[in-house]
Amino acid sequence: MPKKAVLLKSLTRGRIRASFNKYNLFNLYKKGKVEFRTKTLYQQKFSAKQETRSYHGEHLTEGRFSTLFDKKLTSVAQLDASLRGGDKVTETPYILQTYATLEKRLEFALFRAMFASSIRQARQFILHGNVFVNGVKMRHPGYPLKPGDFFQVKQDKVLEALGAKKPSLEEALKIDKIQVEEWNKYVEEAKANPKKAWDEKMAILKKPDASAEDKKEFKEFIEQYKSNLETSERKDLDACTNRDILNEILVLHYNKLKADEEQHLTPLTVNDIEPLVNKDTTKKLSQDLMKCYNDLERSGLIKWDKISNFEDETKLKEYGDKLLTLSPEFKEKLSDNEKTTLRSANKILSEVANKYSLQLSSYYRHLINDLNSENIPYDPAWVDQLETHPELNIEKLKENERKEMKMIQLPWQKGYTYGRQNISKPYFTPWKPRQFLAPFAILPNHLEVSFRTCSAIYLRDPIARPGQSEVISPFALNVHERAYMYYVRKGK
Amino acid sequence: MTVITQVRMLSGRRIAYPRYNFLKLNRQSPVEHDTNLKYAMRQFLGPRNYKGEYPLNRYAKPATNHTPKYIQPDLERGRSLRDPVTEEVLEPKTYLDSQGREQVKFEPVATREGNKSRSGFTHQERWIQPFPENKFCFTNYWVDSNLKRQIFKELSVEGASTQDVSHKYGLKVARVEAVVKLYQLEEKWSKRKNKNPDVAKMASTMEDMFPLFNPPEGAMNRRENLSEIPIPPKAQRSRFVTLAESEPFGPLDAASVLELEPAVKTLERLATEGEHSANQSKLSHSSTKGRRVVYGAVLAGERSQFKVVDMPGHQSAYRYGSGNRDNKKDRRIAFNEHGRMIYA
Repeated sequence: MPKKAVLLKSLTRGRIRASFNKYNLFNLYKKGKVEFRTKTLYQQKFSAKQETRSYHGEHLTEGRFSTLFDKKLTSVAQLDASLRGGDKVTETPYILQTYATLEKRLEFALFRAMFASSIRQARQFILHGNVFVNGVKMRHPGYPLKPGDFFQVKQDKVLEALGAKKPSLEEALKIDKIQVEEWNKYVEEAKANPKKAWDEKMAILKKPDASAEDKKEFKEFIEQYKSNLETSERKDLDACTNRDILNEILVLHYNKLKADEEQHLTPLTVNDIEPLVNKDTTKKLSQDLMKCYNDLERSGLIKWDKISNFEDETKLKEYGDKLLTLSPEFKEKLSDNEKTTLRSANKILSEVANKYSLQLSSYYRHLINDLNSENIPYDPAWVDQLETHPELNIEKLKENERKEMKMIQLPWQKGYTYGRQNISKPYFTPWKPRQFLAPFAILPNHLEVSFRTCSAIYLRDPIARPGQSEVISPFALNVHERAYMYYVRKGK
Repeated sequence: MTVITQVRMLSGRRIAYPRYNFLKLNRQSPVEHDTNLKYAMRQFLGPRNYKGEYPLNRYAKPATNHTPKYIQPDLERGRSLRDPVTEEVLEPKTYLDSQGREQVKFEPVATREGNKSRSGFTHQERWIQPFPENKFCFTNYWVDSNLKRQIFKELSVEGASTQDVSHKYGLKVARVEAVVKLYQLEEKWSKRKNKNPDVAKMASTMEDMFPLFNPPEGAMNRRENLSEIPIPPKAQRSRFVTLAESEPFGPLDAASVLELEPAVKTLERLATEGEHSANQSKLSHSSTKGRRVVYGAVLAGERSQFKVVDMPGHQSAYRYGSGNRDNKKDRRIAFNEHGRMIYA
């Protein structure tokens, strides 16, 4: 029978336990050195034993532990030590092997392999028949493992031990309600100030601590963005001919004149023309284009009475082609003045097209280089994809969760309540690690662990070697020394 | 007359307050039942969000990028909170709200760069040391799936011996054997149809937390020491032997006093360890004794075949008269092949 679990995580006592619990983490964090200064030798031994035993097999009674305790401490000699020279051989912490005898018990191995979040949980997994040793179900937590033994735990149990706690329906709905509110608030803010929201998003993604999943998403996003950039570069370069630019000018011109319903006289300004060459960084091309436009206007060939009947864009295009090619039939109709202005306009246009295509390729090259350093240029269109979420009907969800959970359609949580994607599982789904796992994630030396199969192999009993002890313990050498002295005493 | 004054609780049973500085509670109403320890824990964890997460605590999220995040209260002096975006160190500060009540907010503070302690000394291996007090305890290095595949290929396809592989990569023989066995199991499982996607996520999260055995730069000091042998128990204590002055005493005599086996034997034992070892075939022939097995004939209409195995009597049934030590307090126990406990 294990000892009754009383006040294990007490902050006042501040004992360290073999557990991933957050109270235990705080107890470990605030723990100082074990104080021996004002104590008699027996007091020192007793308090050292108290401290260490609260971590090493706290669930075993003193009587049970004293039958397990072995005063012979195992260690290894390194045959190449003499080659390294006498001074470099560090001290072997023999005394840290005081509790090595416990490490061969199945429950301890399970906890050390991180298949259970505490020794007591490991015991429970074993007693409930979830653990197999060499393919045979083993229901004895104290089963002594031998080198080469293979043990395995049912996957759901490991996922439960290492995963976040599954929220109850009520808790999940409470969280979902807030999530929807927060999301809607975020969408509104992002739409009001897209640049700021974008910058914040990028700062989080670029952080070195971002989760692997976020990073993966970010990488995929960048890849997608890159391929989009390449296609848009091709498209832009294809559209950068003097014919296309003239067409765009004519369409703008036509629309502007049409908008001026009375006189049809308002000409285009530089601001109107600028978007045609928006990727020009020098800002000179728009002025050149303006010159070309002025020439065209001076020629009188694009006055309202000449183009008013080209309602269809294709007809306008054909007219533009005529202006560019200057076919002999069309030439005959033009005066000398018209011809010279048209020629100079065409000359400017082809110059602009050439310059702009050079500008475009350098612009895209710059962008792709930026991407390689993981700098995504700001794209104001990104907020258009964001949509607010309709309010949740909590009552309906409470009545029939399985049927109604499709109601939740948040971008990161589509079709299920918070942490309850698979309601039948005993852990948070989709699985996420429990909090405060990092300080307790210690890979043991005496086990070889495979998390993919939730199985491990017991390599050997933990040993001490120069500078290291394979027994995982939070206590210093001097504490173990006194605890060892307590147990090797005569007259038990 | 003598006065005996008894000093109670000299053993130092006192409240386990943190060793670093933290904010204390002011005088409060007794109904609140708040304690300085709970308050200190709140300062350690930082604020909790509506999902129950502690986004400011640097230990809350799992370690990534094969860089462990072990606690360092001595180096950071109790400052466990970080800004999640800028990674600045945050410290709790009190202020009075509009109703005159004391509230806590977390503000960035300037700290010294790097993980240096007050004395400026940092242990070289501190990043793999999980507990600040125990400088002899380190996490192991993780053998990643590429290296596992490589080892498996060399052993099973190219036919190398475990000793060769062990020497090449600096992994102990037993670990090489275990790596291969687990790799085979992983491969078998990866071909299963009804896989749980959560397991893959769990595995990658866990594997990401441990330092790599073969980092990309290829640091050589991560190799295990292959020359380790168990210290003979007789050599752990001092021995006193009486010798005549004229009697010669050489290493062989010392070995016989300490009951040490010759080095040749030790080396041979190391070389024949493991299933894939170089001398395995020779060993297996000599060690496996022929066990007598009789198969029964399968008659028409029978669905199964009997197999009769030669076995000592006490293993299959209780032998009348054999001692069972049932009057002993701590009877020796063992486990049978079905995993049930038996008295040995």
